[in-house]
Amino acid sequence: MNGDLWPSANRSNRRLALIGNPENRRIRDFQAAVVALGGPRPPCLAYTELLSDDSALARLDADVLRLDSPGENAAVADALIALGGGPARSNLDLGEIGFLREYHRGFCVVLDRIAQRGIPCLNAPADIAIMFDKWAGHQRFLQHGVARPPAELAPATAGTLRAQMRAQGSGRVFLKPLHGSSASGVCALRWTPHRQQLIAPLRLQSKHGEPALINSLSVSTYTAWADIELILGLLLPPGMIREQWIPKLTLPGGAIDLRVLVIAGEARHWVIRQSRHPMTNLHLGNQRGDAAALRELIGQPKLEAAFRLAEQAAACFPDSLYAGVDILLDAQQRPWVGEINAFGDLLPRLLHRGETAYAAIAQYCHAARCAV
Amino acid sequence: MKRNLIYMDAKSSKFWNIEQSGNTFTVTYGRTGTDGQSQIKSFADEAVATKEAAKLIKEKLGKGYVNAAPSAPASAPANGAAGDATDEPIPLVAFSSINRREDIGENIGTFVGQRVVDYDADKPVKADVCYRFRSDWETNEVIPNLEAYFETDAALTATALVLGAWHGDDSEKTSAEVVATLVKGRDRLPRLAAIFMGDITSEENEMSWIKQSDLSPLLAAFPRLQLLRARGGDGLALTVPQHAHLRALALETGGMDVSVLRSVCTSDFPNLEYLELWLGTDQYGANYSVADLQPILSGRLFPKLKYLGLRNCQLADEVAAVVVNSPLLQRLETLDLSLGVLTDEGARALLLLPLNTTLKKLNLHYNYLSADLVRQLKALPLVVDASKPSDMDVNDEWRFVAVGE
Amino acid sequence: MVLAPQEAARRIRSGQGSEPIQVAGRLDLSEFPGSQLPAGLHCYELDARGAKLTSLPADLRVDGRLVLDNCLHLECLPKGLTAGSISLRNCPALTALPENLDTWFLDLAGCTQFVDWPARGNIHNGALVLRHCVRLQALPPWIGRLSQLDLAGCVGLREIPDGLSVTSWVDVGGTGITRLPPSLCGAPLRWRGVRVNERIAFHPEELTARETLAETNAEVRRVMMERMGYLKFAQEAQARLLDEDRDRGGTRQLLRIELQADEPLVGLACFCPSTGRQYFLRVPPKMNTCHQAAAWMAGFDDPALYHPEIET
Repeated sequence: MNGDLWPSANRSNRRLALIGNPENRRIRDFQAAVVALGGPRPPCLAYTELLSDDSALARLDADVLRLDSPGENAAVADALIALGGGPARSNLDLGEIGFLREYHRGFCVVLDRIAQRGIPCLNAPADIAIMFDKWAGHQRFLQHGVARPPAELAPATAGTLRAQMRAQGSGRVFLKPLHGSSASGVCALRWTPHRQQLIAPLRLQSKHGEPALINSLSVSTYTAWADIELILGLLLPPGMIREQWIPKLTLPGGAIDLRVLVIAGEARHWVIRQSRHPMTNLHLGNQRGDAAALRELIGQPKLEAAFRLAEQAAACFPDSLYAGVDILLDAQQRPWVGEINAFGDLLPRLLHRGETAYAAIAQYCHAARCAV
Repeated sequence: MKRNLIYMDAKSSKFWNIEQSGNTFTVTYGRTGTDGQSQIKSFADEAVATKEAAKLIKEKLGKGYVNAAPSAPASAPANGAAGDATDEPIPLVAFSSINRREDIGENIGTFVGQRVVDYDADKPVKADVCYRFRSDWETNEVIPNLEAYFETDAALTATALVLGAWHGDDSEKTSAEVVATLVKGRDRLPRLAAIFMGDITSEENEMSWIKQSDLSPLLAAFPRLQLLRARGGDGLALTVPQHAHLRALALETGGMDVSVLRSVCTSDFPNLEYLELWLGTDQYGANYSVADLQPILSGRLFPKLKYLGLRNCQLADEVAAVVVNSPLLQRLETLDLSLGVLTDEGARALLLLPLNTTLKKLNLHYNYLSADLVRQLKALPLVVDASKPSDMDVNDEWRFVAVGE
Repeated sequence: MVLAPQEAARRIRSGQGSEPIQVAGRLDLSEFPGSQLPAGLHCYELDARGAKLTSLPADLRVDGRLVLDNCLHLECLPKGLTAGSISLRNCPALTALPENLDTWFLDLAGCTQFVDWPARGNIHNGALVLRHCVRLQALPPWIGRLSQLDLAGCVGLREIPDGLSVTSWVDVGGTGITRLPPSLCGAPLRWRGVRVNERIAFHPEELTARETLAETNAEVRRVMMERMGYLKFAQEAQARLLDEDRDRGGTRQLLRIELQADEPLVGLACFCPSTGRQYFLRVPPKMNTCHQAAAWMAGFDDPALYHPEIET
């Protein structure tokens, strides 16, 4: 984060505002965290309002903005999709995966508008746009020498992918939507000349006679190519990256990765995410793993190396105060960056130096406000 | 009064000793190979101390500890050169590996009681650990690493080896090359007593995708082998199933081909005490019927058998219905039908287990039993493990073996 | 002479040599064209499914599995035949089992002429499958404790001898058995593979259409309807009349009953012209008329092609 977030003059009266979906606990919890520190409850501009009312942003009166996730709100999703060139009404069912590219494009338009408004943001809109584009993010990490699993753009059709698979004989990759959030649409694919297996947190359904993909909290395994072709036929065209599937380190209870929240350049709150499936996202009902067991297995120096890598990854986005970085450890216990998430600070009840993640971020605002 | 107990599984190897003298007892416990720590407790009189000690011992036995004294002395190897007095029988408890469904997802931390360490060509080789050889996703140095290890003095005293993912990024690669390399290095591994061929987690490769090969060359090459454990059923074979001293055979598969079962049923393992077979589901290639288990259950084979595990079995109910009629029950200590699709139907059959035999333990971990049947089974005069992973849905219409979802 | 399985199979198929042959593994003689196997054969497993064998050599030794499925000409088995498991599915010429047969698993499914048990034998520990042994009149008293006993379709069986026990289930589907002997008291019951209770199996007269319709398991419900009798069920359940006409037997009715989580029950209630008895014959639910249903039963998909002299 650079210095112009808090211009040197007039530090004492900086007013913070939030942009988000007010019904979401992210907003409520963060407001509560600010209030708990003795600050005024920061107002929240709803994405619905921002999207439906052109002047809403102009009216916003604040010195600093914290942007939060537009997710988990069907009306916002519809409006973003429409703004991004999609249909006026997406007609997506609850949990249905669709219009990922349009959604992202729409969100980028919103981010751009916010940037145009000129109010400093805790996380810069331009950074957020890149963090939500897996290919652009990957490129940025490569430029800065951050350890990332080898990745490339996936082909746009299942047929081309199959030809690549055949040419390669056997292999294993992650396919991730370029513009998906969390584990949505992420597929673990492995194959040999004789069989294939796609593991993904989604259900393949028929909708008005057409195949449709529904996000699911349970992970399904598809082994028939016909099913896999249907799934990839929906996910590949809007863009995916094809990433090396590095076998993750395992602890009692399954494979793990780390979510490390980096705030102001420092790795702070972290959790071990654990699953019996290739996807370790906490959203999927996976468990928080045993930190003591991990420390005992890999030792403090390797854990520190993972934290340093998370800090290095966050440093690729110097205009952002914080970011959630997913670090995976391979069987040799070397760290790799899986993802970076601009809204990766939702880590309820997790304490570091006695404060929650939101309290730590709010504290940073508070300290900056008071430090005249 | 003195009792020495040990505990071993895929994660740990521990001891727990208690020695009573008058109204005082001393408990010493810790990891195997360490001195551990001691606690001394005193009581009002000797009777109270004896009672408290008995309570603690019972508690430990309930947790899976067993007497440290070897359950049976290993028979002396026929070959005089190999038969020096230092051959120690591996305790029966150390043959088991995966006890819980969740253990399946992780690499082992200990093997036959020894700490498992990944072999690293850049580090000095130690003599007091069990090395694991495996590829990672970038490089596959398993063969050169094995060959380098054979050149060290540590190999000459090694009693256990673990082979992990040997396939690198080519999941089609079978274990044949690794087997051949071990066979070639036989003279550098004169004391090898335990091999795990396939410490591979689902993160590295699905159990049903692991490509195995004929493992019987290992039996021929290592006359002092006591345990052969393998994971993965695809391509698995034991074409010459013979070994004069083998005490334990464990074959973990997602679906066992009937030809492997046939090899076990026509084997010559006169000293086998421990037989663990993961039978799996037809989805993953299992093509046996319960009738194919008859030669094992008939009791004609394996006169020394103490542990029988028919695990991860789709047909666990049918297996249970036949097992209770098996003459083997007259000599088994542990019957293990865990990780399979065992429902109340199979459990009702198990209620008919003959009592007053050598049988002490019934492992039914991961099951689809109702609370009522669990209660009835627990009333049997046996140590019964009828635990379930917390995420199991007994009422689910679809019922899966532990490896097979 | 100990031979590898393939070599042994090759020799036997080519009729070479007369030395006794021993095979450590599975001897594959499926579809073997000869009527007799050579003497002195000893193997772990013998698979002779579909072979033209009429009998087996008296000195045959099989340690594990003996598979003789679909041996259409197999008439008799040697005395004292012993194997871990014996499968004789669909051997229609087999009428009797040999004296002192000894095995754990015996599968005689589809042995439609099998009728004679030996005076002594030993079938114990495993499963005994007698599916569709339609001529079978009785079970012998010497059967030991089994794992499962499958009698489904043994229409001639009226009782199970006391003393016989199972560790798991007994399937009595379609038999004339009306009660279990004391030795089987409380044993789980199946009706052609469907788990049923004693009432459904043995007291169908007590079943009501109301409880049948209330049964949530579709398979159990079908067995209950079958046990009640479709006609009685259709009458009690107040079926909807789809169509009515007359044939030689009298009035015919096409009836429909909605079932939850299953396709509706549609059937033709009609009288047999010769016996005067009324029947209920289930037809696909898409049928709309009695004529169409009768045509379907006669094997015509297009009722226009069906013009019977007499519909029976």
